[in-house]
Amino acid sequence: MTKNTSFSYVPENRTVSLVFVGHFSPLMFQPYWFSNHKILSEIEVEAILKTQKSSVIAPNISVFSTPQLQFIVKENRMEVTAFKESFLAAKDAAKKIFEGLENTTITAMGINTASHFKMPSLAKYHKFGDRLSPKDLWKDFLKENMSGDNRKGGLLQLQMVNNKPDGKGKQVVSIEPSSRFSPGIFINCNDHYDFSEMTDADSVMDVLEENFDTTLKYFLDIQLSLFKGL
Amino acid sequence: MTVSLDKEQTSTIKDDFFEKHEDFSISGNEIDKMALYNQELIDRTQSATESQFSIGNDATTNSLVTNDSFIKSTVNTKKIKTFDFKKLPKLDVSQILSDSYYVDLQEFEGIVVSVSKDKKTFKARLLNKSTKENFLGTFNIDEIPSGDKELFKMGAIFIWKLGKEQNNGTQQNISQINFRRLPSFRKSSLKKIEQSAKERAYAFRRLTDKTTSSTE
Repeated sequence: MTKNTSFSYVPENRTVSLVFVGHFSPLMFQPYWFSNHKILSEIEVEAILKTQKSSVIAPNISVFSTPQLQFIVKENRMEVTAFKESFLAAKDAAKKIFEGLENTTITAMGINTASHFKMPSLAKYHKFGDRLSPKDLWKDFLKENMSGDNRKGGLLQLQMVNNKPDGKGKQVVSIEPSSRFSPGIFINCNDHYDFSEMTDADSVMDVLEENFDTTLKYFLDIQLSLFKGL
Repeated sequence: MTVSLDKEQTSTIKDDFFEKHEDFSISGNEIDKMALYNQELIDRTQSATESQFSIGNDATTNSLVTNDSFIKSTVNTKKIKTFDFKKLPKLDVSQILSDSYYVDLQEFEGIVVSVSKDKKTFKARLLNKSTKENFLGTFNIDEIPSGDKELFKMGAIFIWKLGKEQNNGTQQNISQINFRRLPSFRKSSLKKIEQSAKERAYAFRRLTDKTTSSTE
């Protein structure tokens, strides 16, 4: 009798990034500013300053991270990334950053979430790619690499976009091989908001608060749905 | 009948193998490569039509090595790893890879509801974020990270993480508390709350007025 075991496709090494497009002064957003405004603790800031090799504080860019969060501030872009759970930390940090900066101009925001998925075998890995991109039309290009577990060609990246009905943004799902697992799939989801008419940080934070949880749940469901029936 | 493969033929098998597996990059150490090479030889010898044939000369004794003796000796050596995957070329898009990540994680949102008289423990109302179950838990105040102690007070909100942390190949259980650094209420939020409260008060007043007039 053969034991039938089913494999669970589980998102691993998830990250969440919040991106804000606007006008910022990177030099202002240095670690002590974060501890003064209670966005990070003093202990975290001391640790950041001790491990300076991965920190940059300059007039045009400011980059530093804690074990959980990374901050990248450029003159026209700010990114707050949570490397691991709880992803609420990214939202809380962003809201604390703009707490005293309600009138800062923000023209766009992105709520991004990414996951790595381990694949149980090369066969399933290729089946995943073949479902997204059937190879029949590619036989002249791929030749002997059209099929087989040890093929040396195939789908390298796929992006699917869905524009928002109000025309003020879009959602994009990108799929590529995972650099964490082999074989593995990496899926990055982006929920982009265009705020050309609504530019104060206060209003943007309202949108963030309204959509953060639902967006993450929605994208997780989308990611998992790609493995149904595999 | 014994078939002999000369050195050149044996060398060709080896070259063929490494040519086929030139992008063999997952674990490129020599032991693993040789393990696969040995497996390949076994496969080829087992599919040979001749019942016995030589596959070369033993490096130390220079005596003829046949497929039989080769198979026996190879199977008893280091366990052959089978690699059923290979890396595809990397894209020029960076994937964030942290040193560690969580596995089998459960997250609970907690609110501090009481502190013990000796200030060593505190009770919290907990909500399992996945199952939405509510329950009460007791924690040691020592479990609060030093950096979060300034946030600890009645009504403070925290996230309790329970699960495993994968860190560079090793896995360990974790139970971690982190207090949320929440922004204060903004003026616009306070205005909205005030407005909402006024509307509800008005609605209740109208309801009360209607109820009173209908009973008269």
